[in-house]
Amino acid sequence: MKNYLILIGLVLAVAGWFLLGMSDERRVRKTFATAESALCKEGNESPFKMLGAARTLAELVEPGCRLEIPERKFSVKLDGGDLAQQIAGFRRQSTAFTVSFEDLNVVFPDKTTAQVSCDFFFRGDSDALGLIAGRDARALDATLHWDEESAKWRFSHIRLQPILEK
Amino acid sequence: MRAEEQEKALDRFLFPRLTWGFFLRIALLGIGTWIVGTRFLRPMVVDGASMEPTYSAQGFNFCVLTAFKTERPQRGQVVTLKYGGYKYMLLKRVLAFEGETVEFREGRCYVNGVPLEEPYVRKSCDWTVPPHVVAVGNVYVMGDNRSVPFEQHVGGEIAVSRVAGRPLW
Repeated sequence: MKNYLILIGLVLAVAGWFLLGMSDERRVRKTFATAESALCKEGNESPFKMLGAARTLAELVEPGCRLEIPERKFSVKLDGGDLAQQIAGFRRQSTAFTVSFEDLNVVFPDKTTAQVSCDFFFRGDSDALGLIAGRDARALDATLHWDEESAKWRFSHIRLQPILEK
Repeated sequence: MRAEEQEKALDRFLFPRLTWGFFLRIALLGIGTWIVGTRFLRPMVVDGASMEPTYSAQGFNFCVLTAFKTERPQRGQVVTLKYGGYKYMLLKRVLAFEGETVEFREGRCYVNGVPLEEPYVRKSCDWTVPPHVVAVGNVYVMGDNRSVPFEQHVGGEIAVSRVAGRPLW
C-alpha cells in the first residue's frame, strides 16, 4: 500500500511539473519547437498544410520583425501577412527540407524580452532560398517579446551568422 | 542438477520477475546510460567524406566530451565541433590556433610560413589560399580529404568554444 502511494505521488509530481511548471523559458523553447515543426517540410506537402505552416510561422513573428544575414548583406522586415505568402512561396520551390534549433540558450534581460542564442541547422534538397546551402548551420541570435494579447513569445529580431568562416 | 540450475538461471535472466527491484534496475541503467551518453561519451556516426581516409563515411565512433576539459587540442589532432549543437557535429583536424597565419600554397598548408607535415592527407590537392590570421578565440580546422575544391570543403575558422571533444578512436 505504501509503495503504491509513493508511486502515485511521484506520478502526480511529474505530471504537475509538466503541466503547471510552464516557466517563461519553457514557453520560449516551445516557441522554437513550434517554429521548427512549422518550418520543416516533407515531400508532397498539401496546399492546406503549407498554408497552415505559413500561418503558424507568421503568428510567431511580431510586426516589424527584422531578419538579418550579415554575411549575405541580407536584411528584411518580416511582416505577418506578406510573410505567410513569402514562406508559402519558398515552400513551393523546395521538395523537402528539415530545420532544427539546437543548443538553445535563453536569457531574460527583462520580464517581457528574451534573448536566445542557438544553432540553426538546415538540411534541404534545394538551394531555393539562395541564402543557405543544401546542408548548413548558422549561429542564430534572436530577440523575442512577450505579446500579452496572443499570450505568446514572438520574434522581433533574428540574426544568422556563420559558424565556420573560411 | 547443475544443468537444471543453469536452466533456471537462464530462465531468470530471459524472463525476469517483474518486481520493483527489476524496474528500479532498469531505471538506473537508463539513467546511467543517459548520463554517460550526454556527459562523457557521445555516440556518433560519421556522415560525409571530408575526413577520409582517416574516418570513413557511416563509420561509428564516440565523442569523448571530457577530452579538452583540462587541456587544449593539439595541432594535427582530430576534434569534434558543435555545428548544429551536439546533434550535428563536424569532425575536423586542427591546423592552426589564434594569432597564427595559415595559408595554402599548391595544396600544402603553411602555418606562420612553415609548411605543415600532414601525412594523413592522402589525396592530392591543389588549393591555393591567401594567408589568413586566425582570430582570437578561434581555431583553424580542415578535413583530411582535400580532393574537392576549397570552396566546397567544409572547414575554416571556428570558435574554440565549439570544440566538443575528440573521437574515441
